[in-house]
Amino acid sequence: MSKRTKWIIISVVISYLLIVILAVTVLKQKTPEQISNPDGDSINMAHYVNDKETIYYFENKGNTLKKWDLAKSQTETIVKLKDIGVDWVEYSPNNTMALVHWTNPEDGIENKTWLVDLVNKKIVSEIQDSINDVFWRMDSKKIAYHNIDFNSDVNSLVVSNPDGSGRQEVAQLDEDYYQFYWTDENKLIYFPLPTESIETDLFELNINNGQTNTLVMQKYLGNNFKISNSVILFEMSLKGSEDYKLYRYDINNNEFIFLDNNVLAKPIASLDQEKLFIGLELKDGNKSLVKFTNFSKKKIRVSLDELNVITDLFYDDKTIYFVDNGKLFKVNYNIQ
Amino acid sequence: MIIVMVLVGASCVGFVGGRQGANHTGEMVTGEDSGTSGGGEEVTGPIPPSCGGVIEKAQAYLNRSPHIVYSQRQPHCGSFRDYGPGGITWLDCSGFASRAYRDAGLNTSCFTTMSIRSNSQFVKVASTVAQAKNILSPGDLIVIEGHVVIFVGWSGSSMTVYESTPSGLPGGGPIKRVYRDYFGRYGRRFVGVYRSTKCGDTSKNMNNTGFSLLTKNYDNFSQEVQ
Repeated sequence: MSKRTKWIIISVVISYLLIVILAVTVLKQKTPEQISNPDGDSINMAHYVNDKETIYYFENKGNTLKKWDLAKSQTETIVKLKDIGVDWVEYSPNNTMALVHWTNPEDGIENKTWLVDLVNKKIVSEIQDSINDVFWRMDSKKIAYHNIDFNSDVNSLVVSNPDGSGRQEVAQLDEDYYQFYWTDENKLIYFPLPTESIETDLFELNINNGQTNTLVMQKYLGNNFKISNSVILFEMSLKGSEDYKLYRYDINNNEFIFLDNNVLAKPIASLDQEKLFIGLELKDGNKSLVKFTNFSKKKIRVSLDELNVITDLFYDDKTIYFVDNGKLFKVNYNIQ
Repeated sequence: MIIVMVLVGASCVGFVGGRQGANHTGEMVTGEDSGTSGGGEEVTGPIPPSCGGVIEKAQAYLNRSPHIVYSQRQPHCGSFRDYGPGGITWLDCSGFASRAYRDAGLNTSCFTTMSIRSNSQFVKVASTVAQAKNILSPGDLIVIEGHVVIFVGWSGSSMTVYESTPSGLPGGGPIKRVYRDYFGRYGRRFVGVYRSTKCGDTSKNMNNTGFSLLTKNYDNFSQEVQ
């Protein structure tokens, strides 16, 4: 056998192996399966209820908040609203209530917020404040919200019962945009969201005595996501850099820990919350689902189209769900 | 009446709009409104005509479904390869303004609220609130410390703007807002009103010739984004 022939054979074998490896890799990729909505609705502002295979969502055409039983493939109307322009829905952690927010599309400022009883399918109350953002306490008994009117001097942090009663103004604010989280029954952490990369501080507020402590000073904070009552994921850039990286902030230790060079578009906590969560990663124009276990990242082999626009992401112990362009998809995947 | 100037392939030279009595006919501002020329500085010569064509381009970002969220992560102007809002996932305030101007063929740079002050493609046409109230025209950029909005028009004393903010729809993003007293609220942070030097050439830049010009300048944009 000539030397040339040997090289040809070796090249063919290597090429064959590469094709096999490529084929195995592609075959291992799971393809999301679309779940058809019985009413043909477009899914917006969705919320998945673990263990019950139920999704709450807002349907824009009918201006309706709906419940979708995935196992039975049935939907039911929770409430139908009169005002067109619902822009966000925040569901209570116990899945029995939701705050539905409307902004007047004519001026982008006037707004209303209703408390909806998801169980009895009715609007309970309208909160008489101009709410910019809201956060539910984990026991679903209290809410904290940013009360701001862009056409007046009203700008404060308010704590109340979910129906707006028991209103308590807990802090006067200066900036236009804030993010805040409950960390325990009586404590909130909050920080301004700058519209340009500037240093910002992170505060902790005890709502019982009104005492505010500055937890962190002068960090360049970007998007953030609560993972548990003691862990928040932050996009953060270092001084002089516009390059955001992913950090895990441990509230109890008041410590930022580097997680990854790439930020996440949509992370969500898993059942054991702090140590394991999944997220949607955007890198070089490509989208992929990733899993973080403690501090290490692993790609989840799910084929996502470059054009996928994932607006919601959920999972239970055996299935990942996501909403893409108003359609619900699922992938069987054992997260553990 | 809210004045929303929509120009498709038309020059905005000689456009007269905005608040009654305002000076936006392209003449030099005199008295306390005059200044120096060049990027980031005030104009001494004729003020460029207004950039109403930007409004239409900006609207496309407001109406995109699913909506574009707010983020300062890079690239904060999105990819420059495509025009319009199609492939955009996030934009911050200056990224939104940069793209609207670029789509209108009036800008080749991905600016920030800081870098626009020394950007040779824009001139500062007002440096005080009083000047701004007098000169604002649709498409002008109002820069305040840490933020920039696109001026759309007056409705009485209320001001309509397009801006990308962290609030509004889930995740924030480009929105329309009507402020009853914008300068009452943000006057203390006011930096200036900026207008593209190319506004008079809108029609040229929005046709094929303009496309070639922008393609040629793609490398410059990429460098700025990096």
